[in-house]
Amino acid sequence: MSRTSILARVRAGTLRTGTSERARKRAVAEWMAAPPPHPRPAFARTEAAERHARFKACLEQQGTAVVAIDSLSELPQAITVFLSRPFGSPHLAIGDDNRLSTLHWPDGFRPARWSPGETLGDGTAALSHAFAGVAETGTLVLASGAASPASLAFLPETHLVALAETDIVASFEKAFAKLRADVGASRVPRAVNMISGASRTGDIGGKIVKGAHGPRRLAVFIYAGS
Amino acid sequence: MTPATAAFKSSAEKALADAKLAKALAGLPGGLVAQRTAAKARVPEFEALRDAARDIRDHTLQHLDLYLEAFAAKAEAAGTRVHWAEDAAEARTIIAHLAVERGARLVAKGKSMVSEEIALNACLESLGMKVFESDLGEYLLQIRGETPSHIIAPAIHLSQDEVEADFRRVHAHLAPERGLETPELLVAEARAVLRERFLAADIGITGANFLVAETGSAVIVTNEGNGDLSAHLPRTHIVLASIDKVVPTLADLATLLRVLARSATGQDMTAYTSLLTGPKAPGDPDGPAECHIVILDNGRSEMLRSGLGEALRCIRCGACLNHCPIYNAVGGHAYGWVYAGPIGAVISPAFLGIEAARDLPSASTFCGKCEEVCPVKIPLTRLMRDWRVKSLASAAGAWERAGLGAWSFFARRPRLYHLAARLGVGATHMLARSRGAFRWLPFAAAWTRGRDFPAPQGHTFQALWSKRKRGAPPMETPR
Amino acid sequence: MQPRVGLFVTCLVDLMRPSVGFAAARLIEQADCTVVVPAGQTCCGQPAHNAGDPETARALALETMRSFDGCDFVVAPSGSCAAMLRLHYPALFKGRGDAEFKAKAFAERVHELTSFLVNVRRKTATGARFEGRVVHHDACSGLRELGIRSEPRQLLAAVDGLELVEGSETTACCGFGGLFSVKYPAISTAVADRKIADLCAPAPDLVTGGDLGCLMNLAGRLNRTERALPCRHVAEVLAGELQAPPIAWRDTASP
Repeated sequence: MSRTSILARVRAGTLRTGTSERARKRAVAEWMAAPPPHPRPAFARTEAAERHARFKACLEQQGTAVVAIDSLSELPQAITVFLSRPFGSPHLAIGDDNRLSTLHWPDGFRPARWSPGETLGDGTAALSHAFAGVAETGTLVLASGAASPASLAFLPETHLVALAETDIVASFEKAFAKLRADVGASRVPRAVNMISGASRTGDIGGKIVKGAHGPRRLAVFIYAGS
Repeated sequence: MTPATAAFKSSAEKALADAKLAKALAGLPGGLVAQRTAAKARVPEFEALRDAARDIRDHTLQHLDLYLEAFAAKAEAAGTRVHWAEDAAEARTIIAHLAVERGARLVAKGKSMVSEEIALNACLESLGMKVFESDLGEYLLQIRGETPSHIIAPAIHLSQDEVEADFRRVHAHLAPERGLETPELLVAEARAVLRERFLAADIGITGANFLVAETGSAVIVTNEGNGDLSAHLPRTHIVLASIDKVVPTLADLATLLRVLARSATGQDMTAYTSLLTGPKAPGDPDGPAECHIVILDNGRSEMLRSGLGEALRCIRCGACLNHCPIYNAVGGHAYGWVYAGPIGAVISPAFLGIEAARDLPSASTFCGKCEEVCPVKIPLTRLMRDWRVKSLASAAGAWERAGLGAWSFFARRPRLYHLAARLGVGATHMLARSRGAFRWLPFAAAWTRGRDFPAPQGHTFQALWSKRKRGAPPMETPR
Repeated sequence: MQPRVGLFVTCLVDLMRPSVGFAAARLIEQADCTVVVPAGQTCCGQPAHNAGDPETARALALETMRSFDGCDFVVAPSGSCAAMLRLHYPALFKGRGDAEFKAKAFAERVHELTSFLVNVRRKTATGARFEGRVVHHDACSGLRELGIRSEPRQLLAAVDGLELVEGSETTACCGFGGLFSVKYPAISTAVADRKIADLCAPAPDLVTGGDLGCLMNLAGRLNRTERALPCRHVAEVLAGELQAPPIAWRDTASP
């Protein structure tokens, strides 16, 4: 069996004199339970106001649009304003997310629930609610599921993300810990997408161009309050 | 990709004469190199992160069998089918079988060096499937029938004009009078063309930057999002990853992510870093119905055993290529196979045999820039030197052994050496007459092909010094 | 008692350009040391080591170390030779008992020339004069293995009349790499061309370097590309030993 022979060869390759199999297993168990603390840069240990400021600054640096609103209820208005700018479109797709569908959307602008098979290539924008934001690099963390299908993050030309200010964490480690706490230790969502800007490529003449395959435009609506 | 590593020297010389390639490579210092320098400057803790990244990789490699088992168990618990491939042939067979079993006609591919290593595309195509590369750079190469010349920027050697010409030739169904003068227009066209294919693909095959044992997840790092589309849209997702990709926990992943993009492109993070775990779960509206991972050895367990374990720390950032003076001069194709630059020089001989690849570790000045920038501190020059030991001892090293033997015969006998030196130097000096340099010198033709050879000053230092010590008036240093 | 410094001549200086050796000796003497030149030295063993022949390298290492018995310091006008002696000798004898111990003890006495003057003898200037713009090329081993970067610049900047200038790719390789230069000459000259373009950018009057191999490579290529830019070992400038024409200089009259 390939599995057995590969593992046997690997074991033989890693064997060091004096290390018992039991010691190796214990080392692995200990590390998996709690890896030794790794250096965490200062910019990944920000608090409160500095954290929010860093998050926004990183987003702006990526070219991601940042819109600050006081509460989630202001989201529909903020989005209509945002999308009415050039390249915008009136069509908006969302997942099965009550937080978003029960907001007061203006007439003619009710977002439609996305269903698999819709390719969103017609200029429809998509709206997701992020699981968290990571301040160290201005990274959005999206957890796939019925409320937030991963497709919404990749298919449309414009991706809009709602994010609660209270869900902005300082570091990747904090985001992963939040994931484990919220989702449960047993299983992570099928896709955890860590997004740090719109899709881009530098493959043609070295020039950075957006919208290589994923969205050309990314906007984050950060709302204060729970 | 048929290895052409044995032709390195001639490939390199051809590359040196290629003005278009030179122009593309000339962009590296101001581009990827400068970007990495800037990114590092923004992280005062960068050196500590490198140490931590190295330690994580070393710990993992030292316990790799256990971590592989842990990963497989978690992946299977999440609904992923885990397959094990000892070598390239077995990996191809497994993937081909999965594809044929599912009646696949069209395969979407994310960028994967390992898939090049096992020559996957040709295999699937021979079975009547169409395979399209979804990474834009790889797509550009695919339509030209070329191979990647760089780990991160595979089409770095192509110019915008070449891409436009290729699109006009290959996307024949589009209006001929359409404008394609800007990178934006070219990218928009590629996006549209490839989007159709993503939607029609039966199977998505990607690599994985990391395999996380804690969760049984594959991590895909891209800027385009093509890896994600390849993984999400088709019904079946196959991950092809080598055994050294395992990372114990998400906390370890965090550290590695902190050094990966910064070392590769100077970005703090790429646009998309995705943790993918298993197929569609109940309640998931999208995602693949099936998820497979093919774990490949293909000689890496042997590398662990034979003193090349440190090379397996590699996280495929490409920094060593970007900073290498040889890579900067000749580009990636000269290396003749999948892996170029210093890391290619170290691992290609392991895959292909030192006899076929002896030029790769040999063509280095040991300037050490690669080690200086490697995020996991692989001792690349030492590993190249280790290969040189094997190369010298092999049949092909006979001439060099003879030459070294002759030289060392003298060098180990100081009196003889100094005598021979005095004679040789004196004679050469006389040959120069009053010229300061030789345009050509017998026995030094390789040097004088491109450079003048300085005329020695005429006496050896040892001879002059001992004359001085013996009380003779100090000799005027002759011309 | 003045420290007894064994000058590790380096094979290139010994054979090609003794004036560098005399310049180095003068600088060391000026730093209040007694200079001896053990006759038993031939080569540090780098060519063998880098060609993949550690046995020969070890044999040469033993000879070298034996020659320098009794010296308080071993000083080499070469970053690569100094790195060989200081870093690679102990590595060559790792796990070989007493030889490893000896190699480590030997290595601790080894210094590259400018590093010796600045870090050990605490020299801040050498009292030389030179009118003109000088660009200094850092040999890779000296730079990356021994960390030598500020020392030659500090001493050059203190030379009366000398204006120190820099290119922008100061840590780039010159393409010499020992036997690499003759095994892969086409690549070597391509790398040299890039380095030369960078060195020429600040319009220098002179190129200095700490390693004769690099300088021979650069000077030879400058000649071949018809550029009259003189190259000298940094020791020559620091010691004011400028009688000999620059490396590979083709004019019969000295500049």
